[in-house]
Amino acid sequence: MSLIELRNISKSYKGLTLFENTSVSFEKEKIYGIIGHNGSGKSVLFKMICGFVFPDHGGIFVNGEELGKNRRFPENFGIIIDKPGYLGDKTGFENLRYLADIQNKISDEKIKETLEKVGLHYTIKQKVKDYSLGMKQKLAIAQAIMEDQEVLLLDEPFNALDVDSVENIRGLLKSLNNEGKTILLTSHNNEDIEVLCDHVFRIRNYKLEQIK
Amino acid sequence: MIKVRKQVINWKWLFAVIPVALYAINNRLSMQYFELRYDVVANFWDYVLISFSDVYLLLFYIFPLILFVSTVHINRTFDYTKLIRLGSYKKWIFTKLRQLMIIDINFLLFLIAALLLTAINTPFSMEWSNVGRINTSGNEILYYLQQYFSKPFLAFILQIILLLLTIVTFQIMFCILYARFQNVSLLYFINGFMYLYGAISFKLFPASIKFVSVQNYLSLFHGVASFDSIFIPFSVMFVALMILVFIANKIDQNYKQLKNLIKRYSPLFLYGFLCFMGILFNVSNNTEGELSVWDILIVTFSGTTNEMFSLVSFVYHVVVFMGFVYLFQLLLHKYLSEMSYYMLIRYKSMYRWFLSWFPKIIIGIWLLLLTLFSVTIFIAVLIGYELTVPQNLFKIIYHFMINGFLQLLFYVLFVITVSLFTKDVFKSFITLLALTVFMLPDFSLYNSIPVGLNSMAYMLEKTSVFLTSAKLFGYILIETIILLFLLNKRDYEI
Ligand SMILES: Nc1ncnc2c1ncn2[C@@H]1O[C@H](COP(=O)(O)OP(=O)(O)O)[C@@H](O)[C@H]1O
Ligand SMILES: [Mg+2]
Repeated sequence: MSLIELRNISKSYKGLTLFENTSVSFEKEKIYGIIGHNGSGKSVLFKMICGFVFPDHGGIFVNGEELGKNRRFPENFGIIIDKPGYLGDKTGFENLRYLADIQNKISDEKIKETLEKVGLHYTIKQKVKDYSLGMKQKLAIAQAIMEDQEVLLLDEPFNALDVDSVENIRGLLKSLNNEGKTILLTSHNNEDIEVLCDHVFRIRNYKLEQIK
Repeated sequence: MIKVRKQVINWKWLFAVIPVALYAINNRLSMQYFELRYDVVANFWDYVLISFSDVYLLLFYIFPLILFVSTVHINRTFDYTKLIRLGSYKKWIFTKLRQLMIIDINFLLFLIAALLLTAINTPFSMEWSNVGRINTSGNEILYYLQQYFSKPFLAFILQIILLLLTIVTFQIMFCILYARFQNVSLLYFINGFMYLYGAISFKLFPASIKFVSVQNYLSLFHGVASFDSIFIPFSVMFVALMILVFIANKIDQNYKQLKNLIKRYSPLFLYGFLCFMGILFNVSNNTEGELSVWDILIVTFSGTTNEMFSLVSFVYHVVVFMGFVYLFQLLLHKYLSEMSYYMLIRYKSMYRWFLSWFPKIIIGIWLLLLTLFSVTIFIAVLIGYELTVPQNLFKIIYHFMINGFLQLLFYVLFVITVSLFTKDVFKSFITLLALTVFMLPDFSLYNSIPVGLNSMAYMLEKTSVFLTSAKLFGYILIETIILLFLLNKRDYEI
C-alpha cells in the first residue's frame, strides 16, 4: 500500500483548471520533488494532500484512509505552506511551544534542540514579526520537523535561505530521510531537486508526470 | 536648589493675592446684611471659609493662575544640559514637581494669610456659628460645610489639602506632557481649555456628571455636597495622581512597546470603558424613587422587547453584546490568519480544532456576564440602592446569566458559521449587526428571532424565561448542526 495515493483527482477554480483526472502515488521513505511553472498548482496539490482543500472529483488516500471521511487532516505530517503561519508578537520559541501544546508530545528541550538544528538560536528574544524572511523560513522548517513527523510536505522550503543555510537544510533533510522519513518538496531551483530527490514529478497538461 | 528657592520666595505673590483680599473684604461687607436679615452673628471661620471655598474665586482666578505660573516655570527652566545631568525624564519630572510645590506652598501661604487677615477682628470661636444653620440660597457654602464637618477648622485644613492635591495632580500632568512633547503651546492650550471647561462644567453640566466637573475638586464644599461624601473627591484626585506618578515612573521606557500594547488592547479598553460608562450612566440616572439594585440591573441591561423600546437601551445592548462578539471575532481572525495551517494540521479534523476553541468561548461568555453583573451590583450598592431580595430574584439572575449565556453563544456561533460561509470574518459581523433590526419594535416577530432575547426588559413582562431558554437552545442546536456540516465539507483557505 502506498503512503499517499491520489486517485483520479480533478480540481479547478472558477474556470481555471489545475488538475484533470490525474492519479499518482508516493511511497514511504523516499524523497519526491514536484516541479511546475508558477501557478501550475504545486501549492494547491499540497493543500489537497493536507486536507485543507478538497478535490472536485476523486479521492486522496493516506495510509489507505480517505481524507474527509473519518479524518480530515492526515496524521503525523509536518508541513510548510506558502502562507505565514505565526503569531507575530510572540517569540519563535513561544510560537513553537504554542503549536506543540496542541498535541503535547514534546518538551521544551526538544523545541530548543530543533531550533538549533535549523540554525536559529532559541535564546533569540525577538518577536517573529521582526524576524527576517530567512529566519521565518527556518522557523517554518522547525515546526515541520520538531515532533518527528513521519511525512514532510515542504512547499518551497529553501525560499529566502542564504547559501550556508541551504547547505545545512539539505543535509538535515537527507539525514531525516535516512532515518526513514518520507519527504515531498517543491522548489523552483532545479539544483535542490536534483541533489535531494529520488523521484521527480512535473505538473503538465493538468497531470502529474514522472520525469525521474 | 538654593538658587531655585531664592527665585521662588517671591513677593510678587503679594500682588497676586490682592484680588483675593479685595474679594474677601467684599464678602465680609455683604455678610453684614446677612447677619441683620437672619439675626445671626458670623464668626472668624465663617469669613475665612466663604472666601476660601468660593467656586468663582477658585475656578476663575486661583486655579488658572497657578496653572499658568507652573506652565511658565516649566518652560523657562527646561534645559537639555540640565536634563542630561539629571539622567532621565523621570528625575526631571520629579525635580520640577518639587520646585513647583515650593511655588504652590508659597502661594498658598500668601493666600491663607490674605484670608486670615481679612477676617481679623471678628468674633473668634472654634465652633460653627449660627450662620451655617440657615438653609438659603447664597449660603450654601457654610450650610453644607457645617453639615459635613464637626469643626470649621477641619474644613479649613481639608480645603487646603484638596486644593493642593488637585493643583499637584495637574502640575505633574503638565510635567509629563512637557517631557513627552516638549511643546509649550500644548500646555497653554490646556490652560485655556481648562478655563473654558471649568466654566462649562460649573455652569452647564447637570449634577449627575459630577466626576468630571472641575469645581468638585477645587472647592471642598462643592465636592462634598455633590458626591454626598467627604471621601470621594479626595480619592478620585488621589487615584488620578497615582496614575500620573505611575506614568511618570515609566516615561523613560521605550514608547514603541507601549504604543504596540495600547494598539493591541485598545479595542478591549474601549469596550470596557463603554460598558462601564453605560452602567454608571444608568445607575446615576435613576436616582429618584425607591429602587433596588436588581431594578438597576434590569434598567441597565433592559434592551428592547415588543412593547418597550428606547434608543439608548437598544444601543447599549448592541454595544455590550455585539461588542463582545466583535472582540471575540478579532481574536479568532488573528489566530486564523496568522497561524491557521500549521495549527490545523496538528488536529484530526476541523471539528476537533473547533472543540479546542469551545471552552474558551464558554469561559469568555461567563466571564463577561459575571463581570457585568458584579460591577453593576457593586456600583449600585455603593451609590446606595437597596439590596432587598425581590420575589423574582431567581428569575432575574436566571434570565441574566442563563439566557444571556445562550444568547451570546448564539451570536458567537453565528459569526463563526457565517465567516466559514463567506470566508470573511468581518462580513459575518456585519451580518450579525444587520440582524439587530429584529430588536426594533414591530420587527421582532413575536420574539421568534433569536436576537436580543436576553433583554432584561422581559422581566417586566409576562414572558417565561424558560420558554426563552428553550427557543435559544433550539436555535443553537440548528446552528451547531450547520456549523459542523460546514466545518467538514468546505475547503479551508485563508
Ligand atoms: N482559493 C483559490 N481561489 C481561486 N484561485 C486559486 C485559489 N487557490 C489557488 N488558486 C489559483 O490556482 C493557481 C495555482 O496556484 P498555486 O498552487 O499556488 O501555484 P504554484 O504552483 O505556483 O504553487 C493559481 O493561478 C492561483 O491563482
Ligand atoms: Mg506555490
